[in-house]
This record gives sequence, C-alpha cells and structure tokens, in this order.
Amino acid sequence: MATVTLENITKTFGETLAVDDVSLHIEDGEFVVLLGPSGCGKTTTLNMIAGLERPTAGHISIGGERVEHVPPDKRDIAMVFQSIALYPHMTVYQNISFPLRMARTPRAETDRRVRAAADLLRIGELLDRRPHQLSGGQRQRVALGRSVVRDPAVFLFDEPLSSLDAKLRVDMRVEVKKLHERLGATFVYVTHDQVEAMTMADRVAVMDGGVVLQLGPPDDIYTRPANLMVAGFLGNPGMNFVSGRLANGGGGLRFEGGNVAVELSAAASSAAASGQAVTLGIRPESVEVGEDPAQGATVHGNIFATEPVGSDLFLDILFEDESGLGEESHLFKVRARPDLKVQVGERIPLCLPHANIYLFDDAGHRIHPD
Amino acid sequence: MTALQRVAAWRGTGNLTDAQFALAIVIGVLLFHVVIIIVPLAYSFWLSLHETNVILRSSEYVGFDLWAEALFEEETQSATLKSLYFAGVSVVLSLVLSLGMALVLNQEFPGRGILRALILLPWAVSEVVTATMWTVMLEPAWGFFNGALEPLGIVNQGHVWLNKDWALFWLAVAFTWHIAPLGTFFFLAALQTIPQDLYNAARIDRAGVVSRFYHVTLPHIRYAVLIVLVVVTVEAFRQFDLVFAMTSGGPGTTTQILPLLIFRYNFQFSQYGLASASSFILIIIATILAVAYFVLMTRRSKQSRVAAAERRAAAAREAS
Repeated sequence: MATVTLENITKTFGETLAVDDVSLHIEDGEFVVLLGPSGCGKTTTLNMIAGLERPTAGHISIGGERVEHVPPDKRDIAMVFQSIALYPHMTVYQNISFPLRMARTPRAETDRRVRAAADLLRIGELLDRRPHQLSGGQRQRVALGRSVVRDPAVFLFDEPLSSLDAKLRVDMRVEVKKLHERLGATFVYVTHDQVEAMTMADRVAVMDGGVVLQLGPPDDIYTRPANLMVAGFLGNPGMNFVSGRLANGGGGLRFEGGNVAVELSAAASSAAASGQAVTLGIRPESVEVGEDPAQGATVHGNIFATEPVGSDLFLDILFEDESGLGEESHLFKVRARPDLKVQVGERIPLCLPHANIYLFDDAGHRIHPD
Repeated sequence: MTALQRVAAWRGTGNLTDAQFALAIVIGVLLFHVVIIIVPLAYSFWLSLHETNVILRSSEYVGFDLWAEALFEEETQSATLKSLYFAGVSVVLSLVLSLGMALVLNQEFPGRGILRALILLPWAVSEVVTATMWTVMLEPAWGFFNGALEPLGIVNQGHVWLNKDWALFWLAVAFTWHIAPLGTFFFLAALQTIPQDLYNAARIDRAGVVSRFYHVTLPHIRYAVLIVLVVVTVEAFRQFDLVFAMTSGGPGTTTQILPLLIFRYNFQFSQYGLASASSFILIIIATILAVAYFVLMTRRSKQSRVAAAERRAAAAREAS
C-alpha cells in the first residue's frame, strides 16, 4: 500500500512538451483517474509513475520514497496496458505466473497465488489456454490477473478497456471497481472515456496540453468545472456554450450574445460586472422545455433537428436573429423527455434555470457559481 | 489497353471458369519451371545412373553404382565433411552476427536509416568480389589483417591465414560477411513486429535483459531464425564461387568442399555420372538439414501442448 506523489513533473520529447509541471498527490488506496483527450500527457504521466519514462524534471515518490531513478521492476507496481500485452506464446498460467517466476518465488507459493488470482478474476478454467484462444474480455482478465498476482502497492492502468466492445466495457468497468474495493491498493487509471472516470474514480484529474486542469471528486468536476475546457470535456453531450457580453438589465445583469438575451440571477450578477465579455454555459440536461419564470430565464429558439435515443430526446436548437439567420455551428443541445411531441422548425420556449447557469470569463475560468 | 486489361476483358466474355483462368495464367510459369528445373534435374538423375565415356561418346547403365561410389569414395566423404564444417561454422557465425546486427539496428539512434541500408551492401556484392576482397585482406605480405595485427604482436610476421588448418574457417568467415546481412534483414523485419508494450510489461514484471530476450524477443523471431537457418545452410552447401575464387580448394584439397569436388569431377575429369550422383547427395544432405530444422523448431510447441494436457489431467484428479 502506498501513496504516489508527483512534484513539478515535466517531460519533453525533443521539442515537444508532453507533461508540463504537473503536481499530484494520490492517497494510499485511492482510485485516481487521469482523464483527457489523446495527446494530453496522461499516458506519459502514467509511464513516468511506472518508470518506463524518466521525467525531464521533477520528483516522483511512491510510498514516500523517491523513485525517479528506480527501475520499473523495483517500484512495487503493476501495470495493465492498452494493448493488453499478454505474452502470446505462453499459456494463461504462464502469463500470470511470469512476474512471480521472474522474482524466483517458490513453486508452491507461485501456484497458490496464481490460482487465487485466477479465482478472483474467474479465469480458473482458462489456465491452459493461450492468449489467442481467449476472447477480448478474458484476455483483459488475464492481464488483470498478471498484475493482481504480484500484490503490488500501486496498480497502473493505461486505457485497459478501450480495446473492448461497448457492452464488455461496461461489465469490466464494474469489475475493475470491485477489484479496487477488494484489494484496497492504490489505483492510477488513464482513460479518455469520461464515463469510466465518473463511475470508477475517487478523484479525477482532468488533463489537457500536459497540465492538470482540475483535480477533484467526479461530481465536483461535473458540477463545478474549473474552466471551459473541463466543462466542455465532461458530460455527453457536452455543456452548451454561448459567448457574449454582460449588460445592465432589469434587476441585475443581462447576458447578451449568440442571438439570445438571458436575465441573470442576483448571485450571478454579483460575480461579474456590466460590459464584461463572458461565456455562458449550461448543460443540455439542465435546460427545461417551456416557461418557468420562478426557476430561470426564458429564451426562444427554433428546432433545427431532433435526436431520439430511446431513453431521451435530444433537441438541437438554433437561435436566430431578426433576419432569421443563425449559425448551424452554434447548435444548442437540450435533453428533453422522450415523449415530447415537437416538430422540426417549431419555435419553442426554453427555461434556463438560474441554479444551473455557469459563467466563464474571457480567460475561460469559471466565475459563477464560485 | 494493358495486357492485364486485355486478359480481364477476355475473361469477361465468360469463356473460362475461375479454375480454368487460374490454370491458364499459371501454365506458362509451370512450363518455364519444367524446362529450367525439372528437365535438367531429370537429365542429371539419368546421368547419375550412367557411366559416360567422353572419348568413346558412350554411356552405359550402371544403376546406383555411381551413387555408391560417391557415398563411399574417400574423396567425396572428405569433401562432404568439409562442406558440413563450412556450413556449420557459417551457420553459427551468421546467426549470431545477423541477430546481433538486427538487435542493434532495431534500436533508435541517429543515422539508423542509412546504416540499415549500408548493412545490406555486403550481400549485394557478388561472391567473387567478396572473395577478392578477403583474399587481399588476408594476403600475408601486405594484407590488412597482417598489417594491423603484426605491429601489435598478435600474429607473426607474414602469417599465412589461409593455411591448411584454418583456410576453410576463414572461407566461412568471408562467406558469413557476405550472407549475414540477409539474415539481419529477416531478423529486423521480425523484430519490428514485436509490440513495445510487451517489453514494457516484461520490464514491470521484473524480467531482466536476458529474460526479456528469451521470453519476448525469441518467441517472436522463431520463424525468422528458422528461415535464416535454412537459407544460410542451403547457401553454404551450394557455395562455389567464393571458395573457387579464394582458394580453388587449396592448399592441397583442404578447402575442397563438395560443390568444388563436383565441379572437378564434371569439368576436369569429365565424370558426369559421378558428378551428378554427388550433386544428389549434396541436395539430400541439405534437404535433411532443412527438414530437421523444421522438426526441431516446431517440437517446442508440441512439448508445451503435452505439458498442458498433463496439467489438465492433474487438475481433474485433484477435483475428483
């Protein structure tokens, strides 16, 4: 069991800056997900924790000990790779026992631990098979088994589920989460899949451009995104953004831009100043169809397209100006009840609840709610 | 209209079924093969069964007498042993050298692309040129080897490299210089198919450099090893140009490997039958070796299948 601490970690590949001054403290037994689009530096960060890459600058500690000059095999870690990376010519048994054999563990103990790991992952039946005889999910379990058998202090995962099909991914997600609960070890998990991050993590580190944009519990990241990037990255579909300017309105401030005008609540008005350039954000699931002046501001828009997905009905709304023009690239998504009867082209009222409106300043930082 | 289009158009008329079409385009190559391979092979087989007299222009059927002569004649036996020695040394040296070069060229370093191209050059150089080069390098009076090693006191002045004890070994070295790049080429191609993640996984799984080579690299390049073994063995057994150009079988007959002896039987002594019979012995040895490699290389997986079956049986006993 161990904590993992990154202090001012920087990694450059030639001219390219992959990880830029990242500091991160992961508690003992915590499940932390590094989330971000491809090329954001999350895998490089993980590889540095593993010891597969050496940081250009900064310190890494595992269990309180400096490890940046310690080779991967001496760091008491196990890693599951995106490509699964099972040894193709070895049986499942040989694959799982490989780390133990390399550490010259006595045969009886090796056998006991391999069988325990195989039971834990329900692959006891497969021990004599070779990787090419296994399904994707089974291979993934074997890869997990190979890390579990070592009983390491820290588990590292590099997008382990991305090679699986959608349904299997959902099953394995639960499995990894249960594994963490059972083992109580520290898990560091890299993914670009926000659902994996939201469902499994104790804390999520959202990364982009080599820096950690925000670190916090999943619901915090979702409800209180630090900036536009995090807000847009989480949620499916992502948050709606309208850029514009604040003006003095009735009681407080009024947002104007993108062919809409939104009266802001007193709380929002106090966080900003008239004339300030801001981006208004609201999640598709927060917008209500209809008018409700008690809850929020009302805007009107035309239905450009509808996207029924069974459980929900997504509306793509176009806000038009006086001449009837609007940009299709600025579609505003709304999640509605699946039984809502609307026509494409219909003009409908939408309620933007005050409690769910976000404001970001022109640097992209959240200014409301604070 | 290209030839291919014409063939396609002609095919489109529906005159031929797929099988007929396949046969039609293969038959030319087949005929060519028959003419250049099967006919000479059959003819030399016929020759090996006949005692020919050039002066009398006669030939007499003698059955497998010449085969027996080739097998039991001391000269042929000695040449066969020399061929085996030459092939053995060449195979070991070129396997080690080509794998070593491939492992180095698989690393990332500046100038790798140029080096990869350069390394193939010795293979592209003709064997006669290789022979000339090595003869010059090994020349006792002014060759590179003595020039470099004499001042260091490693060899005596005027050391004769191609002496009766070591000439065949140095021929094998020269041949290795020529053939190893081809092996490098095969190994490099195989090495590039190994996913980097496997090495990373092995590093994390506490496998050292040797274990990583044994457990990750070697299993992936097994078939390349097989190919290199077969190619180098066969090439070594039929090697003629290099040896002929460097030593012509000398000093004495110490480097007279089987192809050289066959050449002498044929062109110096006009013993066509004996030469043909000896050629077949050469082919048979090379074939036996090639088959042996295949058997050896595929046996491993059979062993592990047996081991797996045994473990299953043990598990079943445990359960009951």
